[in-house]
Amino acid sequence: METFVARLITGLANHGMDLTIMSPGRPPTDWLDRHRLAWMFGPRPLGIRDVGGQVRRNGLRSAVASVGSQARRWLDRASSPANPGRARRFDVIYAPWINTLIEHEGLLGTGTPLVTSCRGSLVTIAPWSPERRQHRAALPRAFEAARLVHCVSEAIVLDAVALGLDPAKARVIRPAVDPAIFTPPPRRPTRDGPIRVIGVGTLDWRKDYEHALLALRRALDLGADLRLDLIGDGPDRQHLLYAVDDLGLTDRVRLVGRLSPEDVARALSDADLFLHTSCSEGISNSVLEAMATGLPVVTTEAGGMREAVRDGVDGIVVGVRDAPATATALHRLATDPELRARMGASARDRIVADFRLDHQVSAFSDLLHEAAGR
Amino acid sequence: MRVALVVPVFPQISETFIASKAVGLLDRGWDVHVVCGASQEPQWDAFGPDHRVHDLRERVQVSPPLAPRWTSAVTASRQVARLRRAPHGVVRRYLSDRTSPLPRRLRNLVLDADLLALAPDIIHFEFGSLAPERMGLGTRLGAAITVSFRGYDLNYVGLDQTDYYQDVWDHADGIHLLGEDLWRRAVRRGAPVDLPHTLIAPAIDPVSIKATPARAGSLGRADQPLRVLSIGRLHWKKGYDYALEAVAALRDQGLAVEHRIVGDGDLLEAVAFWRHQLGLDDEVTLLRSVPPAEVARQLAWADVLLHAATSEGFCNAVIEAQAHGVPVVCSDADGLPENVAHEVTGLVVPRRNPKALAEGLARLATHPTTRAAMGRAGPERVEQHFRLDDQLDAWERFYEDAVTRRARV
Repeated sequence: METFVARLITGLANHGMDLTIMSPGRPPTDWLDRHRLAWMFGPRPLGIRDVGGQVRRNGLRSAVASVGSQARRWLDRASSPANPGRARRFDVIYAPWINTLIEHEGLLGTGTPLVTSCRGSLVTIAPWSPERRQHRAALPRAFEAARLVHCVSEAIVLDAVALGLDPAKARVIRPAVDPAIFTPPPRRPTRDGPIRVIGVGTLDWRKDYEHALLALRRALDLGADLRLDLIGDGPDRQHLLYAVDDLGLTDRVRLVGRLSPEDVARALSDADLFLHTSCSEGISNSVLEAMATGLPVVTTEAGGMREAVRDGVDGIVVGVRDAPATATALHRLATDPELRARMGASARDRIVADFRLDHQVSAFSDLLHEAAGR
Repeated sequence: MRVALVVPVFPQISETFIASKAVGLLDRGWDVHVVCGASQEPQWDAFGPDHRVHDLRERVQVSPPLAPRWTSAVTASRQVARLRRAPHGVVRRYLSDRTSPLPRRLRNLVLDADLLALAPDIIHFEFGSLAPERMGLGTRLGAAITVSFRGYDLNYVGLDQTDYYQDVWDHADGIHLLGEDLWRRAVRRGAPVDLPHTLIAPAIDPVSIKATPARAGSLGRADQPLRVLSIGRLHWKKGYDYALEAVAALRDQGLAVEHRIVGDGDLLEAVAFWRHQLGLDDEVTLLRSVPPAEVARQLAWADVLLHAATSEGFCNAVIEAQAHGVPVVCSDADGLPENVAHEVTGLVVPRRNPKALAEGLARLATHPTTRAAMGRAGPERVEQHFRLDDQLDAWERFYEDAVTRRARV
């Protein structure tokens, strides 16, 4: 399970909420017990593949498809938590990803209030893909069915409204971190040698690390002494290996690979500066974690990043794909230790004031109560 | 002379050059076979019914990889049956080579069953990435082993292992590269400078192509938008983010532009997203994958071909565009400066630089005489440098030399 959803669930349970998780696989029993959580089985959305295997010949295919969709509808209705035949009734049903409302029609029209979330790619990227036209067409119905819709940023609200969300249903609750887990080191190590820049995230096109490398190249050419560690793995690894080589950065960039959350925290404590070059984002958890660790941030303005990082205060915000501006920002922070210290301290304060996990949990609790009407 | 061409998938519309080469060699009396990991009906159909690729139908051997595990029993038994066609003594010689442990030898024997059964004089790996670990086939089969390097194999495969291609450098009877740039890269990755190698650019058959004359007058007004075409898989190395940024910059300058992209791939979602993010939903059309005849129609439509690749061993799209009389604006990635004559058949600008691409496009839009002259120069250059007949001559020489070299060993 995604750790931030797990954190939200345990947070809400500890807040006194009576929670049942519905999922295809049972979470670990001791975790359920520790937080007094119930669990019930919910099917994965069924595709034709699940029912009939891959059938290529047309006649058979349509028959299987029709049986498949019948079976799916039946299973869906039977397994909906709001089905009167099921033992438990609920005040509110929450789907952390909006595609659940698209793929499980059994959840719709049951009368139980629905809440869902718009977190990122399902509203910012998928609707524009030629292969996801059905997804885009189904979004308005999902928005319609939901009583309230949680959005991770104001920017996402705008995206969702453009796709059919009634703005009156939107509630912004930004992601959060636990400032007790991500803490600044007692003293940032002072040392000779290059300034350590760090980036954390999946190596894929959304993170647009090629522009991070371009900016690094330019900043080096401007005279800054920097090295970059990219933490994470993903489909773009080969792409980045090539770009590192092509831009003459082999002795300046390390593709560190995936690290455990503890090691990520350690790496953040050991860095001087955080770099985030995404072209698409909800609000990046990695950036929030870096800020909590007291790191100044250079970030693109993708999605809701401006709502977390105040330009010139907690870091420097640049345009998406703007390598020259990113390079200037890197250069400026690399050559000014006082600025780094000031922005880093401010970033930490910003998290403690406005992006705390406990605040997020109570905001969510309020949201779910509002949806339930009690 | 029997040649086995080894490729991952055959045929593929994006790799028409391999089909053209195979058909060409066949016409010249070579006994050409293709050994591949997969061969799919829709891909055959994509060439259209009249394409010469269909002459190769009976000459394609599919040896599926030994994965996933549950298919391996079926695959293995079929492969073993094929081994019975191998010439006398070959299997024994194969297994008696004690340089690797027996289970590994058995596994490789199954994998190589098709090649053993074919007993070719020449085994040619069409991509460098297919060759490591298989260079021993030369001694075991008494065949000449040759390897093509086409771009990605040298540009990024195994880049984090310094000796990745050592076996190839040590044992190949000849390597083929698409151009100078790739040979320089091979040397940088450890190829000895005296390694027998040949440079053969993929060619196209210009006879079948009729160049379209350039549209007259300055373009880029609302009623006369500049027609920009891009051709290439939707893959990171094609640099579509830079291409789209260039188109957006052009639009921001007040030049009307219509951009069509031919190609499909893993990056479809990304390209569609960038298009939306840059506000280009009206200007840019994603045509996805289309048959060759439709590519020709799109080239006839276009005023300019835009190719923003960041890595490109050799680019067929820009050659084809030149053959069709379409001027090219492209980046200077790898082999592209060899493919396009800067200021003659197009404009070559620094890679990862949308501004420079946009300037190139704007110049061609507003300078109709330059655009027309570059268009006219294209077919001439292709005729001089990328003729199919010349290419086939070079392949024949390359294979004959490799066989001679192997015989000397």
